[in-house]
Amino acid sequence: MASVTLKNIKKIYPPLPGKTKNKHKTEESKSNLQTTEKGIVAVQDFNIEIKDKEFIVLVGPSGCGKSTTLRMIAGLEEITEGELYIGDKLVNELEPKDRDIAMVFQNYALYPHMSVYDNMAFALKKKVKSKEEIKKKVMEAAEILGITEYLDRKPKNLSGGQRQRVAIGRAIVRNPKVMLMDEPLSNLDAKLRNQMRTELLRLRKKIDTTFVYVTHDQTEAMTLGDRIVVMKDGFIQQIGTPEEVFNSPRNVFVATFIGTPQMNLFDGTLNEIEDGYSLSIMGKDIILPQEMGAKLKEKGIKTKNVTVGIRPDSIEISNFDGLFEATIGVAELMGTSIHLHLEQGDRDIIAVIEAKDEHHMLRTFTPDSKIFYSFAPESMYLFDSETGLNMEC
Amino acid sequence: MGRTKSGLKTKKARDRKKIFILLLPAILFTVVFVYYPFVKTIVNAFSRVNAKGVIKGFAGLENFKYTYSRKDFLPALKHTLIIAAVNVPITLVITLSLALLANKKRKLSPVYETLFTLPMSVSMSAACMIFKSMFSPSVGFINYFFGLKLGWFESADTALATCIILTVWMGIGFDFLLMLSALRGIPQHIMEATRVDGISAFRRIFCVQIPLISPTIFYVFCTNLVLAMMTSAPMIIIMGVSAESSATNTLMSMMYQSGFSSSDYGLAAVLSLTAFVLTLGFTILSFVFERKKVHYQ
Repeated sequence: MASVTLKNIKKIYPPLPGKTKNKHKTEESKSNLQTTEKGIVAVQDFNIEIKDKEFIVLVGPSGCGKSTTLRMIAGLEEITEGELYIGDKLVNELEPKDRDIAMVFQNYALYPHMSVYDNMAFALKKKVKSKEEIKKKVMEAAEILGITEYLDRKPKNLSGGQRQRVAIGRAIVRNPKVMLMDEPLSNLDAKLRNQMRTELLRLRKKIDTTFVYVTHDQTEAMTLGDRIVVMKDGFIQQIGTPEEVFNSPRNVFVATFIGTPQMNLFDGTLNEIEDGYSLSIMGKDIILPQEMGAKLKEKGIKTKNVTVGIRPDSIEISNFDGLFEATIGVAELMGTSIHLHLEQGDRDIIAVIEAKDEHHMLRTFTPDSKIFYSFAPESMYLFDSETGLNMEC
Repeated sequence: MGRTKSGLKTKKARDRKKIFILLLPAILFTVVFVYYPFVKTIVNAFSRVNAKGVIKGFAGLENFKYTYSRKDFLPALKHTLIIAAVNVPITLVITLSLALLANKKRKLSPVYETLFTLPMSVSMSAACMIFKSMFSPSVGFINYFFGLKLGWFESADTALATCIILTVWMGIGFDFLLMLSALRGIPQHIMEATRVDGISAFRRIFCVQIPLISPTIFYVFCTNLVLAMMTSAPMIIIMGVSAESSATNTLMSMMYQSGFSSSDYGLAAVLSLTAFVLTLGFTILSFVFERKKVHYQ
């Protein structure tokens, strides 16, 4: 129940001692992280104001600095530069225990020798609470999470999902100002993960606190977050509500990272014509809609190389005619939809088609046969080829 | 069908032969150096054995009566038990404390890890000689440095304590290493959870770290117990046969003297059997305790 403010937060890992320069170099190239004289920069100028009771999700590929950021909020990792406030209090130098936070770890981090009850009560005991009070709190949390039956068991006798519930229980009994979660669902199998995700949504309504949640799974980010922070290589790429991030991605990275299957990308050239713009893409010219053109005109763009992004569900398929011709690669029936992989030269294009008449459709999609596809100009995203930035923002 | 069956049989037989051949050296070794002496000791304990080690007939419990009625038996038993009772807990506390101090990896970690582990590389007899000169009341470094006037090995009051100091020091290196690796083996995220949960250092050590490394502590406890029950080297090498040596005699050093110096094989056999039974008893007791207190992951 507090806001969290990160001001110009930076994390620089000093170069590891004893490692040869060569080895160091290969590590750099692997991660794409910026290196300075001081060392490897894991998090760059992180700025955000997390509101009280907000659910913030940090999402990004591995090594993007999302966990490091979370661990800096927790106090498990030192902050190299910048200021971190919880509520109005500057907490840079405070120990984790003095920050009034709770954390749920990816591997649950339960105490293996203690029963579920003791795991949850362990952190409460220091505050010299009466036994009844502790019991009341633990029972309440256990009730919310549906683990009352397991209170006497040891963690090793629990399934992954149950363990994760205990880990969450251990965090909520302390009634923290800020709840930190580091990839809490990534150790669970797919089915359980979906189930726990829904439960987290429900849980959120019951416990009124600020959440900072780290994940590499964009579905979790989209469904759980009030706002999403997309990160890459230590930099924030975009902060916004799930709708904003999905509908107006700030750059190519965000556009391809959020949304499954991934957005299709094409190279194109933008040309100013009499009353608007035309986009030439794979030898075809498309006239841009008025609205789009007006935005570009404001920016004074004449000709420009652009990256065109089209979401797979915006692609329309036809057996007879369309803008472009391709051959069918593979058709995957996903249940309510079909993911159709099209091959055009050495390009792989994915289209998502509703599987209403799936029998008919699947049979029509014989591999290597010809097919036409097109897309509405309104569904296009235009990114500057050089900077990767969305040209409409 | 029949052919494959017999084929299988010969293959099985061949495998068995191979297994036997591969095991043979180990079996031979244990039989000659472990089981034969063990059985021989039991046989000797119940026999009349002459000075050449030849069995001259069945003695019944005569050897036991003789041993247990000797004046030096009870002091030796007492010393053995004192050494075990003092040595084991002290070693545990020292090695665990050192390991807890050294747990966090720092720049100088390799230096003091090596320092703590160094006693391991010193042979028992060399260590005995070094300690003998260090603790010498007249020219020893210890008395000089601390300005003491203790008799150490040469006084009946302090001789046993000095021997215990030596055995504890000898044991620290290896046990420290075991404790340290066990502590470092505790998953990092569990220790981080204690930090986030605001668990005090005292509760972290006693409620989390010690229970989690209890299998190692138990192992160190058992091996130390057995080693302490078998202590004899300092008594033999440092004390030798001196006026004070009766103040430090243990079952094992007494056995050594009776067996190797006086060639009293019956006595030696009874003493080693007694030490064996006692050690076995303690070990069984500690395993009973283990079921309740040791936590295996």
